[in-house]
Amino acid sequence: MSFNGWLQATPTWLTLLVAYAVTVLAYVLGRVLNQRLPAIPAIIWAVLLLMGMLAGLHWPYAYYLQRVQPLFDHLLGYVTVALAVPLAAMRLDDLPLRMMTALLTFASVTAVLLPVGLAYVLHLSEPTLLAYTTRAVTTPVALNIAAILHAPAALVSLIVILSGVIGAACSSILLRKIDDERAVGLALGLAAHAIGTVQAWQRNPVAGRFAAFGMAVNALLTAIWLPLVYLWWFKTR
Amino acid sequence: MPTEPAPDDIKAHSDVNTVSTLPPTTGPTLKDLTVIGVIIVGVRETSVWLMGLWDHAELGNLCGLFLLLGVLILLRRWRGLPVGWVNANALFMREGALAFLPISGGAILMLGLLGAELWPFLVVLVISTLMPLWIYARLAQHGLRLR
Repeated sequence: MSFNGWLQATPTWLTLLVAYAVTVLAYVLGRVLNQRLPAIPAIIWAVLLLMGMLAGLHWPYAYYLQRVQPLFDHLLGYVTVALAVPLAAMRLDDLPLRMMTALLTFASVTAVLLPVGLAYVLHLSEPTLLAYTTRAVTTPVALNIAAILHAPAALVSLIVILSGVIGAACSSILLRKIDDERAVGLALGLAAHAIGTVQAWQRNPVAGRFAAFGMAVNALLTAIWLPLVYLWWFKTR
Repeated sequence: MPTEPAPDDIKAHSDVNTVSTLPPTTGPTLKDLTVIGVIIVGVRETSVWLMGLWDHAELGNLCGLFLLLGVLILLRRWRGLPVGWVNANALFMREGALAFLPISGGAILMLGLLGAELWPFLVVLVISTLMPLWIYARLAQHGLRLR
């Protein structure tokens, strides 16, 4: 029986159930493999396993995504909203607020301008330029910003994940002369978001907390100014 | 005489060199997981519905984030945030990668579709990740030392 024939013969609820089960199974196995081989982030394992399972089932990716997207759009929304809790629980009493404000603003702006500027110089396509605007924002927020900017979601996701892996993998060499764990953590959270934050937690709890702070504030700041600038830019063009 | 801070009150605790508050000491309870889950789902769905009334449902998630942040900051000033909520939320955040796994699958396929753009794409990605990482760390170290 052909794939289309099989799909038509299979009840919708069953294909939905299989699609969800495959996703959860890939995620759980990814977590297990990450515990055995921590150098490779769990999300990378999970993605590879998911694609392997879809190939094994002979399911085209577009078909799979169409099945699971309604539920996972909701989940993505919940993860985005959940970022409010650690942000609200932060203590800022012990920090130099002016310096932190300046650094976070600088980081939020350069994290957009640097990749977009480089991509423009190298004549990359417009969808790629748009996708680079969210390079330094954690995936759930990046995907929400991408929806507003009409940037391709898969490319946004690719950029965010790969940059997290690159930042986390090179951090021990690149930051070997930085002896303040707070600075290391903040830089990892700002430049390599969620995957960098995991790396910072593995390095030191102080670095981990600062990384979570940097990641969350950067996501919040960028989610405020980037869509506004984008909308203003298109109105004045 | 100073009073002993309430143990489940997030504003009552201080931890030098931290920006987040308490490290989780015990796993979250089912009650905390349920409460924070209901809050998050309620805020997000309400926010999407409200933004949908203005034909901007795509802004619902981000508006939900700002709405919940505002409410929690007020709650923290008024009564303090229950530590159980923060711990329960940390569990949701840790497992949050599941939510973007299907989209991330497409990311791998996208890499193969970049064609001639692949190498410049990777060059931009490497430079724009590693250069800021180093600069932010240097600036943060300098700024925190001045403190």
